Amino acid sequence: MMANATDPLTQLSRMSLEELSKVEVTSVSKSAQGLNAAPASIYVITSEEIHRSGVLTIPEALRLAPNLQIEQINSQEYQISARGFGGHLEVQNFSNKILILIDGRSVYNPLFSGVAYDAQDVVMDDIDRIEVISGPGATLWGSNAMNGVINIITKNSQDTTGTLLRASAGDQETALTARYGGTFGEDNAIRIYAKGFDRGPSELVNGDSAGDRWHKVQTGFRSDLGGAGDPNRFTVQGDYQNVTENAGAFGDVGFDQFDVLGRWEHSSERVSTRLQLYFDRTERDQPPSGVGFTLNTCDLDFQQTLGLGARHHLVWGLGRRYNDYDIVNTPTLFFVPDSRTLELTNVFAQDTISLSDHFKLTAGLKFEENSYSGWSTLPDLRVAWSPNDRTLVWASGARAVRAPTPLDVDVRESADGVNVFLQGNPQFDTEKVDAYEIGYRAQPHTSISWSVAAYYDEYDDLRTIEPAPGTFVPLHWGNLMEGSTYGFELWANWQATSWWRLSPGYRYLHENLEFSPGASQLLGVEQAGNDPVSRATLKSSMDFGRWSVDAMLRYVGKLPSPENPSYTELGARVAWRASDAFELSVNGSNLLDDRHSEYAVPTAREIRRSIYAEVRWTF
Amino acid sequence: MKVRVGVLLAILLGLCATLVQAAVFSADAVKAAFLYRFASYVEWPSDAPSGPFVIAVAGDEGVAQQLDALQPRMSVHGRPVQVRRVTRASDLVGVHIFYVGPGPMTRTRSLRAVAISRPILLVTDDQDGIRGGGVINFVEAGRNVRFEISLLAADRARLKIDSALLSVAAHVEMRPQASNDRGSLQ
Repeated sequence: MMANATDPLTQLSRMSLEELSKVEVTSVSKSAQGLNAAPASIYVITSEEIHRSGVLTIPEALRLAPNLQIEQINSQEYQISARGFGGHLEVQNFSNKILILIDGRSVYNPLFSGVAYDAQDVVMDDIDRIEVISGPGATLWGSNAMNGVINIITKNSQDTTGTLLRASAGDQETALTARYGGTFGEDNAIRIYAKGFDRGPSELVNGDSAGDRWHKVQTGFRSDLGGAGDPNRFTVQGDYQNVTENAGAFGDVGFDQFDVLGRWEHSSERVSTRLQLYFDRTERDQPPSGVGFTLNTCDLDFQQTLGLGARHHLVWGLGRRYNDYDIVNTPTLFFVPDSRTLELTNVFAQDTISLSDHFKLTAGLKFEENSYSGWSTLPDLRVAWSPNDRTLVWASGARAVRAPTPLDVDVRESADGVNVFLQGNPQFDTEKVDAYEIGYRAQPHTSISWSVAAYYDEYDDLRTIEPAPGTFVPLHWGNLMEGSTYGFELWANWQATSWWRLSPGYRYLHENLEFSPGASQLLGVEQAGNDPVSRATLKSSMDFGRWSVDAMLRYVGKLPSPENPSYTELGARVAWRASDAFELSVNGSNLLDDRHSEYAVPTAREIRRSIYAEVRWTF
Repeated sequence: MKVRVGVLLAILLGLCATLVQAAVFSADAVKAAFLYRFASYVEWPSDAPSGPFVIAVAGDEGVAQQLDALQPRMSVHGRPVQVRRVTRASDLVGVHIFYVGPGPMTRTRSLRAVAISRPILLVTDDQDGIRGGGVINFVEAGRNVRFEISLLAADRARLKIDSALLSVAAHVEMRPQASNDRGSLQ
């Protein structure tokens, strides 16, 4: 068992001081996947990976995670999913089984179920990491954390002191970012930022502009009080953005979004406590044909972690969220009622028990109540076996749900403004999954690490469309689809040389869905999601002194219905660091084709090749 | 054409051979190995904690993981070694070496203040040199990890530094009163 002389760790342990000072170390990004991390299929996108890939937006950064599927719909919109159910836009089914949080603030839209990615932005340089968990996470994160959870975590303001200026210009994007951070008092820091961009349109099949140019200005701050070692730490942060989007023939869309969050953390010998409160307001105006809304969200969350004896590690918490909204109805799309306050209440506990030095059992349970369908029970059971510090084997079983929204319950749709052809269903229930997973992570050698997870998911009460008895219309939503999916995700990191790192990734998905007895079977099972079987990625990172060269190749399989052909695309970045403070780079995305399509519906557009140059200056 | 293919193949095979042989070390692994090595070149005062030899880490999970990985292969003065992650001042009881990772000083100021007042070998990874209270500070030198030593800080912590460690250091900060002190150590 004890390693032989060629094992790098043994080599290292035998080196003298002089030899150690002469070892060449790698400067290519280190992986953040600790083997000690949770027993789940988790991929961590590091800040360095984001920086080196040259991505300018959150959805583009999420392409770096091998366990996600990303479809760009047009210049403004994306559908992002894990383990299938990426939405079917033609039947108003959005990717609604994945939860996304920015510093603990949920950005899942409770009105239509899904995420408006045009409203999610941070200073990319201020991201500490993005944790991408595929599989259920409902016991900790609640409903809609059904097939995945994305946690975007920004840096502590104590880590972002100084000035950052970043200017990008290219055929598609013109962007400016400025951030200043400073310290005050003993252990306190604050940063403020402003950013703005103008993003060019996507294209029609014939190469003409699709007319969806848009621009954004955003500003915000974060302040952290108290350093490591202080029993009390406070964080206050907030953002404001204003966006104008061209929507082709439909006119302009504009929205304002504002959020503020406060967090108090207290740690003592055996207990750490966290209390968090946030407020989020979005006002979205639509052209006359669309539906605008005002949404106010207020969320209070309490969590406590306790070490109980040597064996138990208990986390428990409770939370309450209010979503207060007011929708601007139109004659063809309206909601009854058009304003409401939805409440979400939860209480949970999770215990991690160390059965032996190598064997851990985690059992958790959450009860959550939503205004539409009442209480859900969300259990989670995980076992982890770690025979040594370089290997982890885990298995889990969990239940998660997707909660009903006004679009499922209160909606009315009419073609002529008189006769309703579709209406919501007051009896609409949660969509449910029972998910079973096994996973294996290992670092057999200091230069190689890999991770694989396989899953089998059983779904019930998935959304369908049902006719009115006798008269056919108005149609209404039902819960009459069920079935299973299985698949696997795997990725690896190979530090080939001190200057070159290669990271392949692959995900496979098989869906086997059917209608429940009594279903109308209208629109087929494909309405649950239009998902590719395969997605593969290969990332390469190289360092040559002050130069760095990064590339990512991605293959996405065919989307079945409506059919979108498979495609392969390449993103690349060449950067030159003139000094520690100053960097110049040239970045390209979707380089292999003039334009390509990632989703095939009449409203989806062709995504064009784009290139931009950038200067980044820190002082 | 055939020759070209042959040359290409030879280059590729050569490349593969180098790749297989090359042991790649991260800076974290090298820093962890240094931390174990330092222990052999430092003498702690008699009132330093007895019991297991404890290396504590704050603000650098990467180095902490490498310390964990190396731990089964290492002993210090024949004593078992413990690796400990530190978040509170009370965690520093019984510690011999305390490594504080890179990152702003404000986050670790109070921990450093506690360490400085005890016979603890404080090792830092500060960009702006050895002013942060460290006895030893890691510095980047091209692709190598090197370190600098402050004899002033060593005196304050009542640690005796072996001259062999000083000779490998990239830079030694002398005591202000006597520039020939290094000679007397030898």
